[in-house]
Amino acid sequence: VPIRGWLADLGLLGEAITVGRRFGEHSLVELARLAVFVEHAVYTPHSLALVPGGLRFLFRNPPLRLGAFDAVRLTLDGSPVPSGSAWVDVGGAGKPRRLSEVTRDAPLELLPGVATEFRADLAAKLAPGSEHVVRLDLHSVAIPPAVWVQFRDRLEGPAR
Amino acid sequence: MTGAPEPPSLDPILWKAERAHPANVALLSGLKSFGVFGGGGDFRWVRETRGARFDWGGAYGQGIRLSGPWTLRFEVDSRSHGMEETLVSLTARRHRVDSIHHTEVGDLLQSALIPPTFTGVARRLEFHSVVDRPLLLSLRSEVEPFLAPLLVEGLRPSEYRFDSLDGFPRLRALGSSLVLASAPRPDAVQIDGIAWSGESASAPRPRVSLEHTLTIPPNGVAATTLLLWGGVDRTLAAETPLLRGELSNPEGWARAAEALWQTWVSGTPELRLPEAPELEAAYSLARSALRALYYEPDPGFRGLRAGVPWYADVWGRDLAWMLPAVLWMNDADWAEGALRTMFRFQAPERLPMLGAELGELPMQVSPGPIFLYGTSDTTLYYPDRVRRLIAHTGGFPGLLQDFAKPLALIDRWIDAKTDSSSGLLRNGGEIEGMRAAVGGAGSVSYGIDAPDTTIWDSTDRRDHAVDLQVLAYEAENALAEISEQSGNPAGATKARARASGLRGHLQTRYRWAGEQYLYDSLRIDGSPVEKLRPNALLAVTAELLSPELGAALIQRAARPDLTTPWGVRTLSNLDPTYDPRAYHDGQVWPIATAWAARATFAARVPELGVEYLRTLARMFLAEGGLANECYRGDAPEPWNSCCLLGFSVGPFLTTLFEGLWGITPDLAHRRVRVDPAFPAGWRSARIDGLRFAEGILALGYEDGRLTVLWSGELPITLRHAGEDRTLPPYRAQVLSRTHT
Repeated sequence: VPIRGWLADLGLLGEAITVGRRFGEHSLVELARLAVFVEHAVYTPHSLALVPGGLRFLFRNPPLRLGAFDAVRLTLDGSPVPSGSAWVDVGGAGKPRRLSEVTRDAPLELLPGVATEFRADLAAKLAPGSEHVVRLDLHSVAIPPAVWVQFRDRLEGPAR
Repeated sequence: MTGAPEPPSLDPILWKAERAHPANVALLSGLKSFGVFGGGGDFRWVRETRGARFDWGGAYGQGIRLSGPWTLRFEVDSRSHGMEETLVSLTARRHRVDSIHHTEVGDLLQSALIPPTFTGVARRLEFHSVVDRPLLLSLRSEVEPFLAPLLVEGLRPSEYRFDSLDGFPRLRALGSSLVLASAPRPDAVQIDGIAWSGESASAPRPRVSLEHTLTIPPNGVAATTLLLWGGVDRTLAAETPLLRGELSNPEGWARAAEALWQTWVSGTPELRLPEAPELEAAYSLARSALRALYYEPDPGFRGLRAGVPWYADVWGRDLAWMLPAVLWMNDADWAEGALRTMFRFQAPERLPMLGAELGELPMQVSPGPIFLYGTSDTTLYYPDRVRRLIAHTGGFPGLLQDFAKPLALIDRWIDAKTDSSSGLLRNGGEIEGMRAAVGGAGSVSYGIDAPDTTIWDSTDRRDHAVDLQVLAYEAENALAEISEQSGNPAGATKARARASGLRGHLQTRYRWAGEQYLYDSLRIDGSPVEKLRPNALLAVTAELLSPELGAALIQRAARPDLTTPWGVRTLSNLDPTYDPRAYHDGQVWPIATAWAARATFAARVPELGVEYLRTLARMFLAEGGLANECYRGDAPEPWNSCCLLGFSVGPFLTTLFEGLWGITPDLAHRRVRVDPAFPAGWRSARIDGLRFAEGILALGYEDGRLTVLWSGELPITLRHAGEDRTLPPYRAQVLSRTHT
C-alpha cells in the first residue's frame, strides 16, 4: 500500500507540474485548494470513535451529491455492516434511523452544511487506536448510479 | 431603481403577481454573477433537488455560491413585517425584479438587480409614507455566507472567518469572500445576534445582519441600498475601490443593467410567425434565456453557464449545444471567445488525475481556473462548432491558424478513442481512470459508480453509443471541411474516409429491424443494446440514413412510449428498466424534444416538427422565461430539474432557424441555402436581421414565395428549392415557389 501511495503521489506531482506549467500557477493553487476542501468537507477528521457496542463517525456534508437517498450501505474494513445494525442521525435531531428503514418512500435527506452522525453496532470488539477503512455507498432517488465515500482513520477512545 | 417612468423596453415583463408565490422564481443574471430571487419577495427559493427540498435563494458569482438565502424584515409604526406577508405586487424582468410591500402607513418598494460594476446582487428599498406624521422605519437584512464552489455539489465550508472591509462585514472561506454593504451605512451590524464592530473572528455558520433605522418625513420617502458582493479574493480587490462611490448610484445601476439587455436583444434577429404566435413568443423568451446564461467571470474566460441555479459553470458539452444558438443570435464574437476558452483548457497531454486524455476538452471549467475532464462526447462536438463559426462569418483573420493545433489534437483524441477492430468510437471507463490515478492519495476518497459518461451519464450505454458515432461522423466531416479550407487535402481525405466508414456502420450495424429504429449502442462484441432512446434521432438530423429509414425513425419516436404531450422521454416506457423519475432512464428532457423536432424537419415532416416545437414553446410560456432541465416521465412536473438549462433553450432556438426555416450558411464560400419546412397552410413568415459575415439577410415568406434582402458589401449566392441566385447588396428578390 505505501508503494502504491508513493507512486500515486509521484504521478500526481508530475501531473501537477504539467498543470502549473501549462495552465498557470493560479490553476494549480485552485485545484489544490479544491482537492483539500473536498477531502475535508465530508468526513469530520478524527470523528471515528468507539461507542458502547460499536462505533460512530460524523459527516459535515453529503458526499458529492445532495438530496434524497433510498439506500445506504455501510462497510467496515471491507465487510458489510447489516443495515439493521447501523443508524443515521441527521442534523443532530436526536432521532436516529436504522439504515434498513431508509427506503424510496422514506429516503434519507442529506443537504449541504447539515451534519450527520452514523453509528454501527458491531459484534467484534475494536481497539482504540486501531486503523479502519469505512465506506458508505448511497443511492440517490434521482440520479443513479451510487455515490460512495471511503475514509481511513484511527479509532478514537469512547465517544459520548 | 424605482419611480422612474417606464421606457419602451426590449426586456419585457416575464411574469407578474399580486401576492406572494414562493414557489415562483426570478433569475437576475449578469456576466459575472447571478441572483436567485423567490416569488415571496426575498432572495429565498426552496426547490426540490435530487428528491429533497433545498433553498437556492441568494447570490452567486465567479463560480461560487456566495450566499445562502438573503432575507429582509422591516418595522414601521411599531409593527413588524416580513416581505412575503406584505407583498402585493411583484414584476420580474431579465434585468431586475420589482416588488411592492403594503402596510397601513405606506408601501415599501423594492428593486433587485445585478449591479454592473460588482460581482453580486443589490436591492434598493424605498418606503413611501402615506400618513401626515413622521415615521420611524427599521430595516433588518440577514444573510448566511455559503462560499462554496459550484463545481462540487453539496459541499459548504464548515467554518468562516470574518473581518471588516471598509467598515462592512466581510466573510471569507476557500479563497473567496462575501461582503454585505449598504448606503447609508448601517446603524448596527450583528453576527450571530451579537453586536459587531469590526473585529476579526471565525464561526461555523455565521448569520450576518445589517440594521438601518430611518426617519420618514410626513408623506415622504426614505431609502437605502443594500449590496451583497463577493467572489474570488484575488479578483475582488479590483472592485473594492468602487464600494463608496457606486453604492450611492442605484439609478445608474438600473439604467446600465437595462441598457445591457437592450443592446444585446436589439442586435439579434426578429422572427415573425403569424401562423404560430406561440412559437414567436417562445423565441423571444428563449432568446433572452440564452442571454441570461452568458458568463464571463474573468477577463479572457468567456462562455455560457450550463444552467441555473446548479450547473452554473461552463460545461463543455452544454456549451457545445448552446453555441449554434449563440451564432444564430448574431453573436459570433461570443461564440469565438467561448471556443477560445475551451481550447485554452484542452489537455496538452494525458492527465489521469483530472480524467484527461491527450487532446480532450474539459467536461467542466470554472474560474480559478479549475477544470475536469472525463467524458466520451464533449471533445467530439468542437470541430463542428468551429466549422459553424466559419460558416456564419466566413472566418476571421487568423482563425484557422489559431484553431489548427486544437483541432489536430482533437483528431488525435478521436484516433485514440476509436476501437481499432470495429472502427467505432468507444465510451466507458472515463471515470475509472481518474479514480485509479488518485486512489492512493489522501485519506478520504469519493466516487460515482458511473461506468461511462455520454450525454446521459447516469446510465450505462457502453460500449459504442449511437450518438457518439453520429458526433464522430459530424466531427470528421467538419475536420475534412476545415482541412480543405486550410489547404490540407491529405487531412481532408483521411477525415472523409473515416466519416464514410462511420456512415456505413450506422446504416448497417445499428439498424434495429424489429423496431424500425436504431440500436442505442453496441457492445464490444458487436451485440446490440436494444433500448429505445431519442439519441438515435441525431442520425436523421445528420442525414446519415436513407429517407425511408429516417421517416421510419421519426414515426417510431412519435409513438406514445417515447413521446409524451410534454416532451420526449430519455427511454421508452416499455423498456423494463424505465423509471419515470430516473434522470436518464425515463424522464422527459426538452433537449430530447428538440432533437425530435430537428430530425422531423430534416425528414420533411413539418407538421410534426412544429408540434414538437409547440411542446417546447408551451414550456417557455408557462415557466416565466425559464426552461426546466427535465420533467417526470409520467407527468408534466419538473423533477430533479434546475429551473433553467442551456440544453433546453439552445437547441430550440437552433431548430427554429435550421429546421423550420431550413437555413444553412456557408459564408466561407459566400453561400446560404434556404429551404423552409413550413406546414401546409402556413401563409406567411418573416425573419429580419440575420447576420452573416459582413451583411444582414432578411427573409419573407408569403403564399409560397420567398423574398430575400441582402445588405452585405459583397454579393452572396442563395440556394433555394434547388436553384442558385446571386444576391447583390440592397436589392430585394422574389424567389421561386417554396417546396415544403
